[in-house]
Amino acid sequence: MPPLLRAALRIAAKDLRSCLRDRQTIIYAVVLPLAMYPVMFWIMLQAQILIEGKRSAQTLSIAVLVEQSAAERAAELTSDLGLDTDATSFEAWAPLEVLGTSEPDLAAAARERARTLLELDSPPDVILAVYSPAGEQPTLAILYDGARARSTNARERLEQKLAELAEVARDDALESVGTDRNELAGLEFRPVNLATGKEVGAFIASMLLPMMIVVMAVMGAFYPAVDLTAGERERGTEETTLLLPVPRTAVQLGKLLAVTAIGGLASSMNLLGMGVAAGHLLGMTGAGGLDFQLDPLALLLVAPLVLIFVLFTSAILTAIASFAETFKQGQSLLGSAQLLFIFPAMASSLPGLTLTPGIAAIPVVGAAVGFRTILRGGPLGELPWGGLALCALAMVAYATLAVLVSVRLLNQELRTGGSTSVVARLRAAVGLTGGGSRQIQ
Amino acid sequence: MTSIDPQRPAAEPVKGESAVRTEALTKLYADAKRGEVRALDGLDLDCKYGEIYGLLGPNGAGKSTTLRILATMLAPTSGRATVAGYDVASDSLAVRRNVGFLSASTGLYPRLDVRETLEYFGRMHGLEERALADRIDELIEAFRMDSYVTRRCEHMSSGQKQRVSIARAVLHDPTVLILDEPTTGLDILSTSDMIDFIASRKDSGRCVLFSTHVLSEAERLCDRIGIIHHGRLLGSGTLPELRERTGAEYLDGIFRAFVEVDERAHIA
Amino acid sequence: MTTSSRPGAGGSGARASGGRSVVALVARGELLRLLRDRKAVFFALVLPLLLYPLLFLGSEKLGQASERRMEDQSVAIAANLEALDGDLRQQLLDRLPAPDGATFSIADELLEGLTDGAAPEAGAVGEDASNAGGDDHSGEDAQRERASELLEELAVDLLLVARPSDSEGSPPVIVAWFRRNDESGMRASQLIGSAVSDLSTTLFEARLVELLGVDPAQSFAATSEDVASVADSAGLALGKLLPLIAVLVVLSGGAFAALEAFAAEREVGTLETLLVQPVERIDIARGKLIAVLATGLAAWIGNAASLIACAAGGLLATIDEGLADAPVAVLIGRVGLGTVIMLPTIALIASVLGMVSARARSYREGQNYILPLTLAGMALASPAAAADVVFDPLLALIPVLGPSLAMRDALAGSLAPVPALVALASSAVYALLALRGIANTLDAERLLQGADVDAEAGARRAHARRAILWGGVGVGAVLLIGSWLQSKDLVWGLVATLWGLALGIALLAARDLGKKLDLRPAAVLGLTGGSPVGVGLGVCGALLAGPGLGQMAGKVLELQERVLPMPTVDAGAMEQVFAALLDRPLIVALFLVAISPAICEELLFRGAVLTGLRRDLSVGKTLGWQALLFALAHGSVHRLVPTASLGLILGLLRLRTGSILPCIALHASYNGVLVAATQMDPEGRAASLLQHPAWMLATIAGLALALLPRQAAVESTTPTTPTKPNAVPTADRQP
Repeated sequence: MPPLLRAALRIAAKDLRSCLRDRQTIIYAVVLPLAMYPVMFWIMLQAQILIEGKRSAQTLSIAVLVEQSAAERAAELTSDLGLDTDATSFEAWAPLEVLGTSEPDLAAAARERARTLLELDSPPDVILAVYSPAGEQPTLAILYDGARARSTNARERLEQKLAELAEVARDDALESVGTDRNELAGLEFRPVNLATGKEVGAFIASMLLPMMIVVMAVMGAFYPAVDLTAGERERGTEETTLLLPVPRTAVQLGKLLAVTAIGGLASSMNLLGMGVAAGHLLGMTGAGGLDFQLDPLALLLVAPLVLIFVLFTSAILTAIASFAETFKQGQSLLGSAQLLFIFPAMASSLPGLTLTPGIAAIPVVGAAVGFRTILRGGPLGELPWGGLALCALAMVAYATLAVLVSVRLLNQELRTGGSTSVVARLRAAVGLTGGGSRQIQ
Repeated sequence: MTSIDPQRPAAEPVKGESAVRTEALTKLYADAKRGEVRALDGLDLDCKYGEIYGLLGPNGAGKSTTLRILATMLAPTSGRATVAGYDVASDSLAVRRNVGFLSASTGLYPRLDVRETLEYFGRMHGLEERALADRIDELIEAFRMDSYVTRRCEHMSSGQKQRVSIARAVLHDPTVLILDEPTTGLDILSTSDMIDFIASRKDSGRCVLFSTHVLSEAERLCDRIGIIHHGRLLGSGTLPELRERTGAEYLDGIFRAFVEVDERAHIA
Repeated sequence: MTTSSRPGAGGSGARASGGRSVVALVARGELLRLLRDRKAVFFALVLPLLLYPLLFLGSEKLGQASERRMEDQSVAIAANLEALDGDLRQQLLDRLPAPDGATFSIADELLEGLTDGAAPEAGAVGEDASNAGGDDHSGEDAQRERASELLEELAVDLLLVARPSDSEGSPPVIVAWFRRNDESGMRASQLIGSAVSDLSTTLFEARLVELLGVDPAQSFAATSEDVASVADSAGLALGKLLPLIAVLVVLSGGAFAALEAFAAEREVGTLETLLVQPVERIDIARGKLIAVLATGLAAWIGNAASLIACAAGGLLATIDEGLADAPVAVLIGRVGLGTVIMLPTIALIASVLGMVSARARSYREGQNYILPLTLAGMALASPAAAADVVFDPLLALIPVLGPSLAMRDALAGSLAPVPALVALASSAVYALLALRGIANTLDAERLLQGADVDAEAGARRAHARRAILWGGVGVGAVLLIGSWLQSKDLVWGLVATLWGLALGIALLAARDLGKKLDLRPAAVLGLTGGSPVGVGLGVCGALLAGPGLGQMAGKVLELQERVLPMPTVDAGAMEQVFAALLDRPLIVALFLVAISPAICEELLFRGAVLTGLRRDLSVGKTLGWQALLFALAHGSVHRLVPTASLGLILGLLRLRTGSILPCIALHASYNGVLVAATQMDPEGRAASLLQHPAWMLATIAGLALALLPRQAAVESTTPTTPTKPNAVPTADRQP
């Protein structure tokens, strides 16, 4: 083993041990992920049940707006809707409203009248207008206020009710002539799904998981990245590490490995917590319905790529965080940097994106598309091995670059004498501060 | 909104009267690993105006706990303590009004400069603006802070910071000054400044109570010395008194003698 | 170095500094220092301001791009429509290839093997080939295989096969073979599905008219029209988004200030300096809180202004086209009203952030708590994103959720005054409670101790905390693992949940707490406590009272149904579960529903947890905590009130008798009524007996019998007046 790597591993082991002994790190990486998601999903589920229950038990009021020549039809409808007998689905809002027959445009008149009614202090939730323009068949119009939740609900309920009544009317009519709807039906459509539940599960996983993996990897590496760079600087332990008789590259590499390990732990705990919570609690209500089992082979295949991605994420975040002087600064710096990951990941959720060499080399997008390709399953031979390899190589290259930048930064800082602003660090990193070009290695 | 009761005129310090007094002061901590820790175990203390009293003891003896209880930062588990005539438990506001407290962990706001810092804390004490401005000018001169008066605390040296901290603690001219290891972490010059400052307080009839583990400081400054170990006051008196009681010449010997007696008593 | 003696500014010159001026002073100081940290302000407040709108717009654009991509994608379909007669076939073909250039090939001869034999059943949801097995599915399996091969061979996304009708009087069948794990296949299926159903409807209606002369459904056809004004519709569209943004922005901006004002200040040591000043701690807390509030509010106002500007500039047309036309003054007014309604909530968020950061010993620790808070805030604000959630007084009581709905309605111009007032008032109360919490946390005690040392008061509650932790573990295990087990197999899952999880955790907790409390596990569980006579009386009383209480719980549920109705779907599901459990031999049903829960749940909650709680807490708090945990373990909002009330009675029983046995008896007879009612009394004769006043009296008598004689309390170390700090509970342990 080359001495550089050995030194790096030693530093990583030290950092890792001290991190794992830190209560905050454990809370962040293990306790929170495992406790937070189940609680959150449970609360959301209960809230949904609560709201759904209230919605179904709601009493909504309906105003019927009648034009004289359609009065008979309106009376039929009122009784069909049960307004005069029971008020289970609707309660009648005041007596029938009457619309003048002389109006030239009955539809417009009904609309106007509805607006006035809906602006009352205690308005009806929905208005059913019944009118017969110039002696034709009666027309029905549902008028509602889309800006009011009750009104929206009332409209939905009324539409559903009318549709039910229509079906009943058809069935009755058909029965009276001695036939039924089946005999009149034109065609029957039978979609047959050839994919197994597992395959469908893999497909859904491939749609959802890549984005989740990216988000969780960033979240996981976030805290250790700040803690081991800016945090160490703030606590004054950075200097102790720098005094060690090992190359700075080893120091930085060791840190990166530690961040990767903690980040990987936190990410997997987050994924686990979320997966368990979503799978079990949502599956419990039947909302899932699908056999959402992941293919172990696909998981096995995706794991190395995820690991490399976590390494890459850790490297980038660690490099960015080393620009900061304090934990707080590092933290707000990374808060914004997160978006750099999440946005490309969202872009890569577009359907039809495949792992071409060009896409494989784009930082986050390549990895996300890679995850998707692997998770979708299928024969091993058909996987785009070249693209995946390129994607992994590119991430390693970016990670190396990030390490080099932070080492350079560290050296510049030693030369310029420590504490400088973020801007000065940034300049140092891109080599704008002049000075000697000799690297302290 | 609670409002602070109108300022009662602080008792004008009379030399020789008790400024700080504790009776059977006890403090228990609960430690996650060690269980219950008895930081103070029936401490009796009596410091007078016009006196510099030094609390001497190793780390963990209970010095800081005592001083923090006196500054109303901690509540005693049992026992009584009065500062400038006010009880720390029942009249903590009045105590804080009459006490200047300084420890290694009373920090300064990094992004405020000297004048802003002093103005902020002066207003907390309810000083009038005019009087406050005069007082700040006076302190800046007295502590020779004029060269960095507009510098933010984050950019100051530790000696400069220490002076601002002292100025902050005496801003309201407290009758009792409580200092918790005031010279820790200071360089030679700043330490000497600090010692001069403590000595100067005595002349105006104030009481200074400070803790230290630097024996030479205590020998040089203190009118009386209290030796504290395992949360108990093992002995107290002037240096000659202590020498007489133990037969030891220097403070380190005096200290060791007290501890040995104490431990023997414990075993027996 | 000297100071002059007593300047004019000294004690005598000082004026009284009132609480108000201290609060203002602290708040001003906080804000000044916050603003001076320019970089942090930029990163925490300004950058999000620039990035969030970008993110929203970006995700919107992405959604559109993805939709366009879907539309542009052509699909390949191979079809064999021989079974349809020429006319019908033509009509279908006319509808088929129209949209977005689907490649469509009629490949009659190639789809052999799919055209004869029985037509397959529709399998909408991924059906495993192996699962499809039944009595006569071999033909179907062969067809599936053939279809899979053909999809590969022809390189198409979907195979379309027309089949003659299955039976007399039913229509011909169009079978679409595709894979649900293939985007193009799914899209093709959607295209075909809508074309077929369109044609089918047309045909059906035409035949109907032919037969009856007129379609009777015609007279029920209605057009729906939204008569809301442009401003209202646009306001609603914006209002669905704003509450979530507001909560997020206030949380992130407020967190920045709160961590700075509490956690970071503790780290630098300035908090100690501050606390030796002669001012009340609550005033310091208030001052700091005002700074947090101001920062959160400023962040929100900045974001709201930028959103309104975007809306007026037509940038938010993707959200609602009317937004550009809505008068800006109206929008500003409504956002203003929404903000006013949100104010107590913003104060609440600020207080909670303050409380959390004041608890944290360092900036790092504080930071850890922000994420769960953010998620909770998002979860609570998200229902406002639905237009059809009705804002009513009950929902208005829920923190964040109520005000979010109020804000949505304010934006839509349909704010109902009563719930709005309820939301305002309740949030204000919550905020005040949280403020009190901060003042308590800002206790110098906690502040000054090292990382591992907790406050005196905190340590005095160590046993209670441990008990709550064990209870929480139990609740989590029952809810997560237990419900999963029960979804696999109801009966065995239930048995495993109760006898495995609940009992196991109860025993572990008893062992662990026993060590801490210096008690034998059996004593912790309450198996050995109480005098024989007392326990005997308790058990008799409990058996007498149980059925009546069970009956009363039913009444409570009925009452609750009025304010907190259960969705019919969930109520049905719950009934099904009960039916499945009860529809068994009497002994088995009793064992599953009455005896097992009684023993296992009681040992956990009234046994181990209650003993640990009681050691440190007062009777009221002990009862409250164990009842809450017990209720949470039942995992449903709707069962919260009845189970918590039962938990209170059971807890009291244990405290009074000192034994767990009466609790088990009460719990078993309480649940047992349910079994007895369904199995032995389908006519409900016994139920009416239970409602008889005499039985009610018996219930009360039973309770009195069990509860009144105080025989042996569960051991407690809490002094009777727990507020007295001088009472040293464990002094005797000192050597």
